[in-house]
Amino acid sequence: MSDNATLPTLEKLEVASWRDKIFPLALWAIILGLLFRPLLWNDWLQIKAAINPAALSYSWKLLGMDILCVGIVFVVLYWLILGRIGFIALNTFREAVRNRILYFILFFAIVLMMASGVVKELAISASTRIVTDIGLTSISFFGLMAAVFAGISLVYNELERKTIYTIVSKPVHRYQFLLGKYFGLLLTIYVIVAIMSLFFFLVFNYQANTSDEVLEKVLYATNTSGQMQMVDHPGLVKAVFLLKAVVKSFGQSVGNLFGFATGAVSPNLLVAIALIGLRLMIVTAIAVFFSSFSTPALSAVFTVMLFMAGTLNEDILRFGMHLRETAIKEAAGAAIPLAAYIKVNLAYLAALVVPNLDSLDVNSEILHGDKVNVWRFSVLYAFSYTGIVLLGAILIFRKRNFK
Amino acid sequence: MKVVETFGLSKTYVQDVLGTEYGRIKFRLRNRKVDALKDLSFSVEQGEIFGLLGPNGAGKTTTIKILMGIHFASRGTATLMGRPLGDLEVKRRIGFLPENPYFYDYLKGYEFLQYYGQLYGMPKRRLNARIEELLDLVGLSHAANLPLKGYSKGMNQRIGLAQSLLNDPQLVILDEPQSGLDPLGRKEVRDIILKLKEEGRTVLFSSHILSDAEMICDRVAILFKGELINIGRMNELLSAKTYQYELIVSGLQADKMDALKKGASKVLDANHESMLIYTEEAQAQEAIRTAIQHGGAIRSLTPRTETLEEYFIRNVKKGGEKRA
Ligand SMILES: Nc1ncnc2c1ncn2[C@@H]1O[C@H](COP(=O)(O)OP(=O)(O)O)[C@@H](O)[C@H]1O
Ligand SMILES: [Mg+2]
Repeated sequence: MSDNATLPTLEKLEVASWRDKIFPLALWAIILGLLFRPLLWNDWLQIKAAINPAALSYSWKLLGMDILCVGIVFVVLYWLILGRIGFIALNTFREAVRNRILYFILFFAIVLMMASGVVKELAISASTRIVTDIGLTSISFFGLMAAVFAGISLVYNELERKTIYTIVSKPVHRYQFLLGKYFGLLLTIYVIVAIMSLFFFLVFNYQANTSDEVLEKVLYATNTSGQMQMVDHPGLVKAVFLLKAVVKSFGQSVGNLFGFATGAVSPNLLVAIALIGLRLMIVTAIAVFFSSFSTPALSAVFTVMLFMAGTLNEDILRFGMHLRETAIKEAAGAAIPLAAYIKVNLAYLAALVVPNLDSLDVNSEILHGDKVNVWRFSVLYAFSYTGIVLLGAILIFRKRNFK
Repeated sequence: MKVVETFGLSKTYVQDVLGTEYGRIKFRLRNRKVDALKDLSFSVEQGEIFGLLGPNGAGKTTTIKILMGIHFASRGTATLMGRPLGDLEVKRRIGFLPENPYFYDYLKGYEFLQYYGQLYGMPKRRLNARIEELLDLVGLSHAANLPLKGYSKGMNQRIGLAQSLLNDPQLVILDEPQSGLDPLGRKEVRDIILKLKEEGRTVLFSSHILSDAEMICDRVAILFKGELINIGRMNELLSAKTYQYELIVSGLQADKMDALKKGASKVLDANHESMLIYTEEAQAQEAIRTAIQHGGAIRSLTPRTETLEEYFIRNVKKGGEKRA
């Protein structure tokens, strides 16, 4: 057989040039770059802003960071398009939309609306807490459901219906297919999370904008003799005010989505949602990993199990440390018995293999009003863990015979 | 140049403990092995129509899957356009239609072709022009804006054929391109394959229906139970000599018929006609003369050379006995 030196050369083919794509690419880079800015600026989620909200006001430095964000996204998008990954991702997103996977949002909206209706009667601080709790919990939950459900079914469909046959016959590497699927899923899940967050912020801002105190100020005015008096046509005034409040809340919520702590939404909340995004990034990678070689049912079970173990990661680690301490104590200076040694290390190994979702979860801190502190390392960890899981999936997928 | 070349290609499907051959984890106590392909070597020359023939389970699809990088060979290697399998530059120049194709439910015909064209990296303008051209070629222009969900089996086959030609391929590999089509559709596919050859492309296709293949193939390889039984030009494989004459006559009385039947190797009677089969030319001539003498009418006389079908039955039977 011929070796590399004697390979016949094939004449050059015309391919699409980057010039065809420059405008849509730039547009998407701006939108996505700005969406990801809460992750990048704020000094990598070091919650400077949480301690000092003034740090959030726009400055030249932040403008520089934004331009950097857009630039990075542009380069990434360019790479994705060049390797066809982008087309596969967009088609995956299209499948998700047309298969109505976005309906998850509807459940969320209903839950949130009902909750905020119920808590209306409560004092403002209590109702804020409850809305925060329900909002964050259900964004996490429905995001997880979407990640598991879409992550598994959209990869599996392609294998089961054998569309993979024609994909691998195109000039596309297998890893590009898998990454395309992954990014498409991530796009789907982030759109779902973004829309849910928008609802969430909207409820928040609207509640603040229409609190009893604010309403009182609108409906009552001091007259010339210094007495409080109800304005003329209070019903009309109230209706106009509420309408304005909706528009204002919507504007504020869109600002929140792009990382501005406008309105009643605290920077902490933005961070909490960004962290949900990081957790879902990991979960989606796990779902893709399992469905690259296993059945949908098993993949779902494994993914959910790993997710649950992941939320207990720090407990596993603590358990390992506990085992170690008792073993040392019991050995009382002598060598630790092998069985105990193995047990300790198994616990450590489990903590290593299972994703550490604990450190990416600040929901309870926010609810208890504790200071939110995200370790810089956790963010790096999320990206590394995702990368390793995807690498594993690619290695399995690369040498696989398709059914 | 040899466009396709295989060297001792073999494939053994193993359902291992993790059964990942089937894409799922399955626990089994015993491994089950299927030798789907045994030591297959053949080559396809530039510009020819090459048929990969054999009954179901012969290993045609396995061969094609290995060539397309869907499965990996257990032993042996292959090259496409002189390069090892999996080369992206080669894939840019190949078109492929899988067996019983099925595509994305949620896409419209046009969107589907656009997506696949993007995977080839085709410039938008050229892609759109090409899509129009291909939809016309496969007769789906009317269905371009219908979702694939509503496509019939035949329409799926047609859109599959269209996607295999998007990139103006130099080599087209088609797995059972005529399955799922009615006789008219089969003829259309045949015409398309001939047109591809006229345009200088190489076509490798598989079929278990021999009559589809024998009219258009330059060369064929015949597979049976994973083994190459024979390979060669059509006229080399088949004996060109006429081996029987089919005579159809009508309007003869029964006693006169008996005279005709005497030399015939086989007789088939319909209501008013009879088909008589002779193995010697002289017998057939004699029979025609007798029939005309007695006022009968000659409906037709067909000299028959061996068909691929018959060749196949003859050889596969031999092969089967050898193995038994
Ligand atoms: N994925 C697979 N796993 C196990 N056996 C298979 C698989 N694919 C095909 N086979 C077996 O390999 C043999 C050849 O199949 P195939 O190549 O599809 O034949 P053909 O296309 O000529 O009908 C058959 O016996 C079939 O059962
Ligand atoms: Mg087949």
